Amino acid sequence: MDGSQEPVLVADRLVRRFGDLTAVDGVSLSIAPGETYGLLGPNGAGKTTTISMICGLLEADAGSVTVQGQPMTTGSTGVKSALGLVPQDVALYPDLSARDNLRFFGKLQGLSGRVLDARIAEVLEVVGLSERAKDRVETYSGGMKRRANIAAGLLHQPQLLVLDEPTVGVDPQSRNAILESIDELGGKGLAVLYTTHYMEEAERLCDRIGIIDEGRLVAEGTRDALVAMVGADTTVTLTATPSEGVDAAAAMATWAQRCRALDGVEDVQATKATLDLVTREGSVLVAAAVMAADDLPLAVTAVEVNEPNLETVFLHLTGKALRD
Amino acid sequence: MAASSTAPAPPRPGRPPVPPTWRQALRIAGNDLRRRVRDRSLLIMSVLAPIVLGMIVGFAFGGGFSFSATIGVADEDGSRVSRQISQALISEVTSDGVDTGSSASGADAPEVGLELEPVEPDGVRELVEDGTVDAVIVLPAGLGDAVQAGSPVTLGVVGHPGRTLSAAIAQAVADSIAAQIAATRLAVAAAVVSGQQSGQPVDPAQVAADARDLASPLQVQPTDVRSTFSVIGYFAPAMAMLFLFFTLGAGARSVISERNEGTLQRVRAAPVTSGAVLLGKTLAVLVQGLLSVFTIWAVTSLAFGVDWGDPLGVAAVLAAVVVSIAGIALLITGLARTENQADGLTTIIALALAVLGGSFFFGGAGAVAALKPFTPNGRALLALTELSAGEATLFDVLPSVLGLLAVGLLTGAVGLVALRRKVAL
Repeated sequence: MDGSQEPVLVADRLVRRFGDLTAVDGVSLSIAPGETYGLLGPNGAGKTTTISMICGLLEADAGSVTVQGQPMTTGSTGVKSALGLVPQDVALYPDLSARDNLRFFGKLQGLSGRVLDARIAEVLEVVGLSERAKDRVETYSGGMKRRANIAAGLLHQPQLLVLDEPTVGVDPQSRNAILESIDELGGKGLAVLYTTHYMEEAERLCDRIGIIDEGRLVAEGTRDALVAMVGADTTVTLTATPSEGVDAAAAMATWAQRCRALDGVEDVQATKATLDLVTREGSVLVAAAVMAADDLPLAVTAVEVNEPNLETVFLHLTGKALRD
Repeated sequence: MAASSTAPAPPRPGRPPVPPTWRQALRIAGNDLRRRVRDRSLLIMSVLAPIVLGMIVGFAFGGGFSFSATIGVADEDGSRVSRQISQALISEVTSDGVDTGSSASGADAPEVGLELEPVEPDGVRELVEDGTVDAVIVLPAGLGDAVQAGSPVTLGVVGHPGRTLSAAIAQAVADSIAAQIAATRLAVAAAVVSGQQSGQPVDPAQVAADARDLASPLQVQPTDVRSTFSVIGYFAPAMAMLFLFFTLGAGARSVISERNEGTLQRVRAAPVTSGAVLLGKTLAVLVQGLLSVFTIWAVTSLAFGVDWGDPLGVAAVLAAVVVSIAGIALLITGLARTENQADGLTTIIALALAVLGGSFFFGGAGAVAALKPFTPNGRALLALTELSAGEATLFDVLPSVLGLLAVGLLTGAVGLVALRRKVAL
């Protein structure tokens, strides 16, 4: 976050309980203008509950939320104009057209007349639905509904856009388009809070990521900082085919021994046809490892680099896979 | 999404002022009504269905739709005049009956069977309450003297709140008797004046006796009774009230359905208070109900020639019953845990009240007749029947209107408190 700018959103030690279940347990986060913050966690981790408190839809049992310096509670009205919500489900009236949906929600935000008409035209253009604006939402494909859902969140030009898993159930093409658009919004000075359980989306979009599990924010930072924090290694898998008539096992053993001598290699595991190198140097070791087999009766046929990612981080921090 | 290169505009530096609660409520109500109009449920469920079903239920009785009432005649006076009136009434009306099937009442007017029988003056009210008779015409003590002296004559009618039509018929018969007594006096006066002018000696007592004889047997004029009956005029509002439970119930349940579909979440994420949401939803429900009953009133009046009676009274009763049923619908929705539960409860309560309130049949007896005034639809139907009998005005049905409003406001208030928690997500 750029420390020179006041954060658009500050959530401070939010707690929410449902009976005996503590759905959110002391979550704190802040987002600066132009920053995209990802809340990454599996289903049931507390992402939607956190968002509901941030948007003033659910009262927090403890903690506070401020948006642009103003407190956000379920009774707030004025401050909600600064916030655009894109709920997880398509929150539009299926029997109305996209234009009529946007007109209604725009009026609730205080927009009217030509300003409203212009904004509707603009957001429909942004999400690529101008041609279908007069059609009922129920006639749209799943991807189109999602895009219309996002348009409704953008309509009143909020300072903070909150997207709750906006790509769930969307085809790859629409998903990519949605991600491109959100990426672009961050560049325009909009603060974005993005929840997802798709690790790739968080890595692609987010400046900072908070990892949430069982209601608690277990780690927060940039993608690289998170990876560094858990000290995860890169695994390079090299596949080779021995020449005919040679002692393949001996050739692989020699190759493994040479790789162990390379700087940065922490461990090498050899099988009959593959070599797994564990390193913190990443893919830079690939060339040296391949060259180490140059004078051996082996032909390197495949290289696979498995760098540490948020999945690795999540596994390391929680002991379970992100999509469990 | 847009492969479009158009970038969204940057956040606005200035924001429009937050609209006041009432304006947000109107927008929510307008959106609800727009959706009802577009999916045609407003037209079908609120207007067409009640009229068509009203006709079907009415004509299900076919030409055989009939109404019968037993009217007692209690002679408290015991004079020669009162005995003569009583005997004439019983023999004339019972032998001829009251036929309302004339052209004056329209093609849908049913047959009415009317029987008058003498009853003891003591315990008249008990006879009515236990259903021995539907209403009683009371010939009060002093009637004979009053007739002889030319004093004003007032006949009493004792009715049952659950059988207003019978009371209306009894009142019509009583009015007819009073009118004929007045006509007799006029005839005597005319004869006396005529005799004096011609110089002929006139014995007023003899003329009066002759006039009474001429006037006997009494001719009951059932004009008001005829206009009271109209199959469509009764069953269209009866069905409208039944459908009000369903349409207004659906309107109230939209709070739950919008919560489930997520649109309520988006509305609440806008600068809209939960109070504005509830006010908007309630307004939509009330407007839908009023549109329904007032359209049915207009259609049955213009297309079927039904006379509903005093317009102010009818408007007040219709508005009050809408408030009452809307309140009950809000209460059911507020107390139900799920949309399906609210739907099921609405159906059960609507049908139960329709049976008890006389929406499927006219009249009724025993417990059903006793409970009818205590159901909102039954109370409204009784008031409408009273108005359509032609004599009652807004003033006469005011207790019913106030009762219906009280039920609506009380149940609606409790329902809104319960719904507030649902709106708060």
